[in-house]
Amino acid sequence: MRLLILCCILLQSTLLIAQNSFNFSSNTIPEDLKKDANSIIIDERISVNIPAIDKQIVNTYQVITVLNKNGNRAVNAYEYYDDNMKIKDIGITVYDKNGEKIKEVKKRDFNDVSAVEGGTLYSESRIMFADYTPDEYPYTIVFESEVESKTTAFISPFYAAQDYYTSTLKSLYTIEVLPELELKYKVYNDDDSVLKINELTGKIVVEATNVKAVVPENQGLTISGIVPKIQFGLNHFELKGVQGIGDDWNSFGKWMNESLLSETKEVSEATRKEILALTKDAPTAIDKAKIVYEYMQNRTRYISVQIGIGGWKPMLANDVDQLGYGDCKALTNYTKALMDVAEIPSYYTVINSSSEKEDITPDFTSIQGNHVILAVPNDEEMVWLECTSQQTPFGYIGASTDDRNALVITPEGGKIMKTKKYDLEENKLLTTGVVTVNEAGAIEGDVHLESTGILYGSHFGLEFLDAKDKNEYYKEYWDYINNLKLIDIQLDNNKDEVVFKEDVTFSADSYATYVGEEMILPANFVTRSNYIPTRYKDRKQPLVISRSYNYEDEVTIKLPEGMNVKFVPEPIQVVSDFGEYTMSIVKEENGDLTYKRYLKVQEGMYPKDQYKAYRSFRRKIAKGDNQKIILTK
Amino acid sequence: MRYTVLLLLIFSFVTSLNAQEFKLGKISKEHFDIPLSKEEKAAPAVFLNKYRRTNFEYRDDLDGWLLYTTVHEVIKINSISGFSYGTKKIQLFNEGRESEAVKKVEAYTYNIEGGEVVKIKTPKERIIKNRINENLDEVTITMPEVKQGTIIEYKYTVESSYYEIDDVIFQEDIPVKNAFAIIESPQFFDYNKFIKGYRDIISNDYVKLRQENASFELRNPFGGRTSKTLTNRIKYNDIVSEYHLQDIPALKEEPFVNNMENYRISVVYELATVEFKKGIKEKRAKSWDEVAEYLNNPARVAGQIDRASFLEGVSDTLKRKSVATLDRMNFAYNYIQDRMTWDRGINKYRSQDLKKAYYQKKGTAYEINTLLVSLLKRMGLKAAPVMASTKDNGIPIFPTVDGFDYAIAAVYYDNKWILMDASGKNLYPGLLPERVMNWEGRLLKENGESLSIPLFSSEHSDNKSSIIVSINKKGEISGKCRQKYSNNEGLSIRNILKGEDQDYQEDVLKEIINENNVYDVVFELENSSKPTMISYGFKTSNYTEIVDDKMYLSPHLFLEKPENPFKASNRELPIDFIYPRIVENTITFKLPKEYTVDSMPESIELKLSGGLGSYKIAFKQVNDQSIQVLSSFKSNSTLVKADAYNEIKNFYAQIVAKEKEKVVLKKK
Repeated sequence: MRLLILCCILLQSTLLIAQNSFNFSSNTIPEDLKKDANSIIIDERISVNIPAIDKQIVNTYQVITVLNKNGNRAVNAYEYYDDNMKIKDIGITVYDKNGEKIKEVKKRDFNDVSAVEGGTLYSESRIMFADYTPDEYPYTIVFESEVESKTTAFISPFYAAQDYYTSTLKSLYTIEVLPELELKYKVYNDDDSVLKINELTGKIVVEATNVKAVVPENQGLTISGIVPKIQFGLNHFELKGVQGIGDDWNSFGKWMNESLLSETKEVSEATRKEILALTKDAPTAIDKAKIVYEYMQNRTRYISVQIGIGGWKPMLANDVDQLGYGDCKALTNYTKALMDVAEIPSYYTVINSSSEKEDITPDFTSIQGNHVILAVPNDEEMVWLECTSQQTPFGYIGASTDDRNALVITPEGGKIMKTKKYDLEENKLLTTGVVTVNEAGAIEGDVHLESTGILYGSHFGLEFLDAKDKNEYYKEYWDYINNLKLIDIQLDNNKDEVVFKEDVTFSADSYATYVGEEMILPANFVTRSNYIPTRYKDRKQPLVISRSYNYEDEVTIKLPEGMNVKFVPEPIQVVSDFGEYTMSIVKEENGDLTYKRYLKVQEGMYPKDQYKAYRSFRRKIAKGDNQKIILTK
Repeated sequence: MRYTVLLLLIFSFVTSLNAQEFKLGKISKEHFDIPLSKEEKAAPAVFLNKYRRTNFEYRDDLDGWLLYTTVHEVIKINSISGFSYGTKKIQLFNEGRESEAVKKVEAYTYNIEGGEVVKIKTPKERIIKNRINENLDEVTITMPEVKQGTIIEYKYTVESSYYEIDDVIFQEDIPVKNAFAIIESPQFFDYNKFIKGYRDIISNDYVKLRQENASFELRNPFGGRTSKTLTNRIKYNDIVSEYHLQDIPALKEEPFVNNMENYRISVVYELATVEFKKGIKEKRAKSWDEVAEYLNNPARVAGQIDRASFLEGVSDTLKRKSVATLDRMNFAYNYIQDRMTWDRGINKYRSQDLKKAYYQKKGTAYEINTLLVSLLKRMGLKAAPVMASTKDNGIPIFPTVDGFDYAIAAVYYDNKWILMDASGKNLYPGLLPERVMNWEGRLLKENGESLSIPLFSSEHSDNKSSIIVSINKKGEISGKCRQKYSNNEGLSIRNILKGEDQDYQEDVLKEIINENNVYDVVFELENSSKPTMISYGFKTSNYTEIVDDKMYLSPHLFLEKPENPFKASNRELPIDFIYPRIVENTITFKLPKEYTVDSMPESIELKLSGGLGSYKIAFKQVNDQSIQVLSSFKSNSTLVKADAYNEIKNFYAQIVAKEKEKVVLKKK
């Protein structure tokens, strides 16, 4: 009897050991996966099951070894949920470097909090997450979850790696869909055939093994442009109780228009009359559109909410009319409703808002995008309207939505169109002025800046800063001028021409330094660039310059009485594939010096071996901008 | 001494209080025409009125007091950046049986249209309650039709079963034209009041008689309830404090401030006593000694110090290694430091378990350092825990358990207390991390007393560089550099570099010195109690310029201080230098034989008044072909009053200008 009990205990304890340890040792990971990696996906199994148009079950099993503290960010031990979703199970188990279990968190111990920090319009979006502070590295974490959703419009893409500095030993993704719903997929960045894709009826299995970690590089590609990934979609899906069609962009657009946008456009009779009265005398459709747009800007404010949250259906135009606020969908839809009143055609447009140009994929129809703008046809072109800003000039879109494919929803259906591209000539900063140098080496400057195109977007926000912050802005902008004192700042935002003008008067003590009797005067007063791109021993990515710019300066330098010019730098001209730089200083008859500088940067994707040449180009610019004039008594 | 500014007790004056000009829902044309100063106009928005009333009501049904705080605020929106004030958030706490709830929310938007004031009420569905976490709810009011020039108004009451009166905040991130606050507390509650911020606050204090109906259930002789109820009118006094402040400027962030909240103009209330039974005042406020006593209670961690028998084995083993106090201190420290991981969690004084922390090998700084104290004491050393508040937590304004969120350990040796914190892997006895270098801590003595311990570092942190370079005739420089960082300077470098691979370490170095061609890099990071050392060779052509027959040399190379950190033209708040420091550079140049020295900058010496700091630089010609530049910068203070700002700014400006001066070499 005693023996039997003992046996049982032994048996039980072996079982426990089996559960409490994890067959893992960091020695078994190939060395090349450890290189540049802060974390390694050891084993990932994601299975997506869509047995009906209104049911999606996602099972996630993920084993990640975290090698150091920077690798913690690869651990995503959380799930979002809302009214349409249910987290059926969620849990983590943590193992130390020897494979011993050190922590386990079950569903009931997960934190359950609101997902919209400071949420304002919607309150149903929530997140469950686990807290874990690692003691030592490496450690291994197993994350498991099962989430059921009534929405089938969104299917998680498959990524061979989710982030920089993380490698993948093995990742398996299985998707099984009711065949009538018509599953489709698109593969990105897989020129080297890293992904093994096995397609069966209504089922696709994807496997990636031994994917090395990617290191970000200065002016390189974004992670989404490097790592192999697969996007999935259905031709028939459901979104918050509304059935949708995704055969092609045309029918998708038609569906969106009819199901999500059609019943949301009524406005009050008073607003209707106001719009009609305001636009009555405007000569052209575009003039009318501008009046409508500015009316909307004056009546509303933007409340930030992500597009996926709160559904894809905009708030009713009438509600925006009453309340004067909304998110991007609501404000765009409201503007469209007002355009309808004025009988100006306009189209609700879905887009990716990001500083890197990210397209809505033209040849893959699925719910995409994170932002909405409005398109107004003007002859052959479209005028694009950003409806979430009260300041933006009519027709101006900045660096977050320019030059990329967007989905334009017309009554005839959806169309993929490219938004406005700002070219070299438009993206201009003109800097002119007079700088007076006195005998003590102090300067007084009277400088005029004019920015257009994308550069307008990076300057015009200055108008909305208070006096103290404006001062601080210029002290940062000219951080190489020590002891800078701002005397006067005049700003002029010409919204019609989309030109932002700055007139700044300043002074600075001991700008020039004396060496004995000689005064050394840095020649570039107001546009000095010290940017030299990081050096890489082994550059892997192409060089990406996303936009062209041109900078033109002309500054008159007034020298102190009684001092002579001893040395003036020679003119410099640098021409490269990436642009051009010229600098010259000319002595005028009246004793002044005229400083001229021109810098042009040419957008493009340049092969990686050109990166070195680009560095050399930037170094020459920095050197040119640091030239000095020498004066003597 | 300078910190006492924060701790001034209120002195009372009697002033007449203006009648409230703002009635809910009654904003008129006159309110739009209230003249604004230049600063008020330039701000994103301005509080025209900020009203707050806190009072107690006896709730017969609950058989107890509830605390009501009514807020009524009127804000004029000046610009687009002020639109965020169109959304108001109210946070509500609850824990166990204590809870808060919001009552009677009303919010309005007013705009001028066609010369008339148009009022819009915020609809009910735009007032949303959101559960942030299990102890915190948030009510969000999103007011409609907010534009430039709009006036918004909201009023609400928070009902609370806590008796803690929220801080009465007068200063906001935007200007406040008028602020009124009325705090009424029944005579049964006594509060201590403390002023924060750089402004005198005068209150009008008086006593108001109140009557309340209260019913009392009669109890039967066994203490059970009877069906009999008596209703009584009770009379008591309300102690009232009225505050009226005008034209309060916005609190603007300034660089080199430890925690902006330490300086926000406000009155902090601390519950001192409560009298639930006639004549029996229960003390709630605490002296530092009482806080110490509370923490020394057997149920608290400090009380567990002498009961941590699980440390017995370790203690014996370590004790056997040495009898010397310092050795033992280091053994204990190293053991706890190695074993324990700081979980970065906020300290919960009320729910900790030393034993659990010890076996899980992780815990709060409080648990880790209390374990250390326990081990030290077991090993026969005189040791004690020191309660502290991190910079994020601010400065504890009155003695309170919650004013602290951290603890460190102290060992008494050679007539002084050595402070230590085992929560960081790169620390050592005597060195505290920046997060806890905040004002002063309270050392808990065994006899229940407590002692104030300064947490600002009195020791300098050094940053010393010595460079030997040679310059060729083309102006190219090659050199060898050796840098030594001690104390907190060494710590910050270790925190970035230790445990990282060499490539990463070199990249960081290149970034710091802004040079690319760096080789033979050696880092000495391992032994935390020794200074961090970095040595390397470098090649560059960045610091010379040849013009005609002259070569201009920037004599500080990459050690030149590039810009003045103090840019603003004036300053309101004290400057936090974090810890005293010394920067010493010695650079020896071997000149190209084709050149000779034409001129060198003048050697100078600068001093800040009151011994706050000094700067010295000397240029020496060692021989025909060699010069030496020696500079030494000393900053002796931690927290400096704003009065000294202009002098300090000017001191830095002179240094920056001086270091820009060139050495000129001339062709032979």
